[in-house]
Amino acid sequence: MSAELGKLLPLRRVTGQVAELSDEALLAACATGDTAALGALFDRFNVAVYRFLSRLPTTDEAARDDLVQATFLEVRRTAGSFRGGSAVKTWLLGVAANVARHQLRGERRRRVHQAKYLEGLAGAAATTPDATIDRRRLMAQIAEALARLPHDQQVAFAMCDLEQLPGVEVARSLGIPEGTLWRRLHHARKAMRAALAGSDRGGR
Amino acid sequence: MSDELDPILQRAIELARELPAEVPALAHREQVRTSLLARADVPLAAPRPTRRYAVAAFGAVAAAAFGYLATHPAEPAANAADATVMRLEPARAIPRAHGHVHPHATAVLGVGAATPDEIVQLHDGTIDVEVDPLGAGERFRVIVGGSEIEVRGTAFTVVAERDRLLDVHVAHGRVEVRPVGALPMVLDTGATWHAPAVAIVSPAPPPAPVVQEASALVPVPHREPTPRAAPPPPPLTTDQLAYNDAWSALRAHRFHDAAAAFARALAFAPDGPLADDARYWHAVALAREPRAADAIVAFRELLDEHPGSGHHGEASAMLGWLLVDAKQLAEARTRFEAAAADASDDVRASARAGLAALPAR
Repeated sequence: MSAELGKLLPLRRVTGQVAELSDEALLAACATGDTAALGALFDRFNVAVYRFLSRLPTTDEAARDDLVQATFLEVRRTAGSFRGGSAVKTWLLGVAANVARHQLRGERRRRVHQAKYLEGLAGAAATTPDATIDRRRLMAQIAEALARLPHDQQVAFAMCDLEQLPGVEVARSLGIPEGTLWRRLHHARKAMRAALAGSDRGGR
Repeated sequence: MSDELDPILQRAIELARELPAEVPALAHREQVRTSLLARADVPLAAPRPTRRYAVAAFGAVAAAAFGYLATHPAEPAANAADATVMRLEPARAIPRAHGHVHPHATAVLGVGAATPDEIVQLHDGTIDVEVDPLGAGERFRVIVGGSEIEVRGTAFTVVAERDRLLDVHVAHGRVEVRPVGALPMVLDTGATWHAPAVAIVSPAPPPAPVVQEASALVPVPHREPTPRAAPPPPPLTTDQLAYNDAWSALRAHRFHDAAAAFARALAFAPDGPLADDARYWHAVALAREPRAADAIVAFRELLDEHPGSGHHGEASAMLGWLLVDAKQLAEARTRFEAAAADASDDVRASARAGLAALPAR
């Protein structure tokens, strides 16, 4: 094979098996424009991003694929700004939250998405074989309370309580002071607690 | 965060965690991945023609490098610097829904699977491929052993020997190459990928391309070089080939490759006789990689789509433990309970241990 034929584009800058590369190494390779690293990051985190976005009632289910793609394209664009202040997963979900927020088009659109979300939950609960009537009612109340939260509070609740990510890292990933995150989470928890306490009184 | 989690809030959080959090099926996410990489900002080296493309004669050069030129002096040869453009003989082209496949004289390949997912399986030799721009949801792939080349509107050349991918050259457009045991990469116009050098045995010159075309993909059996007397292996379907690749990778503890190959086996034959086993081992490979979140989704898919699976108990127990790690305790309990009546002592013991590890209701 003559040397002049070796015209492989400099896309494969990461070496070794993907499993051997840390999240940070993949992100660093991504920052240099390495498409293979972007693909590997997608492989590693796409389920987490899908799950996280689907937990935000303010995101449109029909546009979720676009949101996921937009998240990873934004990751590629801003990978160089990652300073290691959080785990890559936390940082990436922070990017997803910001992408989702920018996708919102006003209160009316948000309400449409929330209505669809609640409708979908009602259908899903109805097909759950072991779901009792009481449980379905509680789930619906929780879903409604979550849907009524402002987007930023949904994000705080989803990242801290549902994904169980460290608050310090979440605040960094969202680019907000820790106190702001705490306030959002406090309001979100208060609303969620009220939703359950209003009818369930803590009984299981 | 310093909020004290009282029992009511804890219950609310637990219920919120159990709300449906939809993750699309693996095949759908793979399409999103392909689309993402195509959208990634990699500049093209040359503008793309609008419909069809001429194919550069690079394939013959690549073939010559591996010994084909000596046995086929009539093959047109050029080097990349010449960038000579040749038009292949129309009579030799195999029409596909989205373009043409041009096998060189030595090529052994199978073609099958109609749109939206067209597949060409190359076992040996060189093919030039022209693909029209594809529509949303449409795919065109060339499979060589466990390696895969995915294209979205392009012209390219693939060289293989005995189910091993040797070379890919992109004349126009963009392809993603997913070699077995290596990271995937995207090749743009003019780019070439070469397999690591190994000793190559020059095959005996066959008289003509050997092609099978069928409604379902039926690969052609390998042909051994003439000095060797070993009989050719029996014909395998594409999903069987991928399944075998996956097992080889699994045995070698290359879990990422194994998961990818099991996923390919499923993509080839989602309802085939291997689907149940492929889904199970796909989930196991993901769990071992470890990609716990993907493994959870894969186990759920197995249990949903194969409720009568012989792996039901084992999968339920493994899923239960993954869910314990993911703090999804309510579903974990359900999965352990499903495994608790399994015929296997080991599975029942695992399920009992899982239930014991969960907090009391």
